[in-house]
Amino acid sequence: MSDHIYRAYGLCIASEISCPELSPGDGPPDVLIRLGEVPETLEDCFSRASYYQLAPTRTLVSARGVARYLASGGDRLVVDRVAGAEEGLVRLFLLGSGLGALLMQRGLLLLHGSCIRVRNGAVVFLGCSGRGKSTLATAFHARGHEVLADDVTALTVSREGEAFVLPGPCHVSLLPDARSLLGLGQALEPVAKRGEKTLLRVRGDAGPDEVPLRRLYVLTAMQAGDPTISDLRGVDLFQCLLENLYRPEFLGTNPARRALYGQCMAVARSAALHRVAWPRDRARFARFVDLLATHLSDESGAPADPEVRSEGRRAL
Amino acid sequence: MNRSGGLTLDSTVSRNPDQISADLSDETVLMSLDTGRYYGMRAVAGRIWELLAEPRTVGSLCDALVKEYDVERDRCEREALAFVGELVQEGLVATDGVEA
Repeated sequence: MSDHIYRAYGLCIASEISCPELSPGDGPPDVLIRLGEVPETLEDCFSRASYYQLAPTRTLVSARGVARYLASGGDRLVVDRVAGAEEGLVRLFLLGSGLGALLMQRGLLLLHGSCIRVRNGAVVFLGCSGRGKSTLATAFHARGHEVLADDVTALTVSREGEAFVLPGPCHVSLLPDARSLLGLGQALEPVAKRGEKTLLRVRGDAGPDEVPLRRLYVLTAMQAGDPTISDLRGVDLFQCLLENLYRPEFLGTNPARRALYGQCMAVARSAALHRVAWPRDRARFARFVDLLATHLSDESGAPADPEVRSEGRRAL
Repeated sequence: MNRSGGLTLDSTVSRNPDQISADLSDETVLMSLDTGRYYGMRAVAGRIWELLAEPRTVGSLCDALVKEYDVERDRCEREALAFVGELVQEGLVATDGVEA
């Protein structure tokens, strides 16, 4: 059986498992995904919890009843499936924590957030689960913006200290009520189902390998009232980034932490961060998106025109 | 001789290598890899941190500060000793005779 070849996060991925969530790619692979045996315990493990074990060059992620995943050396991911496990769930953890561990081994900074493209770069929406990151990304997609990431946004920092987003899988994952909120109906092509959520394709191809990061918005809840947007600076900005890392527990060593915190500082220097408080009010969701769209374009001094989407994507 | 918890003007102080810092326009952000704690330093505090890039005595630190800021020597020495004393307590700088 030949491998499926994909492109994501600036990497060519050759996988024994079919992953409809990923865009097709070609070329010599940077990362291999293989089916195989993964031990229950890593002999040289120096840190562990119920769902992961850290060893010097390997990370074991364990999803009970689904599979065990071993990420090693930043270029190999082995998947040991539990007999009868639902394929969608095997891929959920594969493309989430499994690939996440691998990307961290490659030195990427992972934030728990979605990401959209604007004219002069990328904008990230941060916030804990259920805050609306995917819904917001999809709403901006409806306004003509490419979605670069849904749950995990991967960043790299250049030698000059500039932060770039590496686009991930080209789908968003939405609950039924979010879909109806957005009036999507059947408009976006479903890719897979994961429990209650449906994965909807939002990008035809992998797109550019990297997009400069311009700003981030952290979404917080409020009970009622009009949405507010405020700036976060300095140490507050830094703290916010630390609070929104994806799987920070996978960072085992001081050199890895030093590199990561250095990257957070670079992001803090080069991008603006705003806190957005909004009531989860269905009736005023469209107006809230308007407010954000205006804010995105106002401050940069240049209008945040949507990137023209390439053909191959369905119009809404 | 001025004292501040064992720290004197003749004490040589140096940054603890296990920390990372960056200048973020409004303030300098500093993080200790040992403790995981992070700090924001504005204005003079940020400048003092910058001046401690190389090991130096607290006295020489004050020499630089009185040139840059409109402050009397006495007051500068008192406040510098107090602030550097805090940095030592937080494990951000080491001083001869005291492990950070």
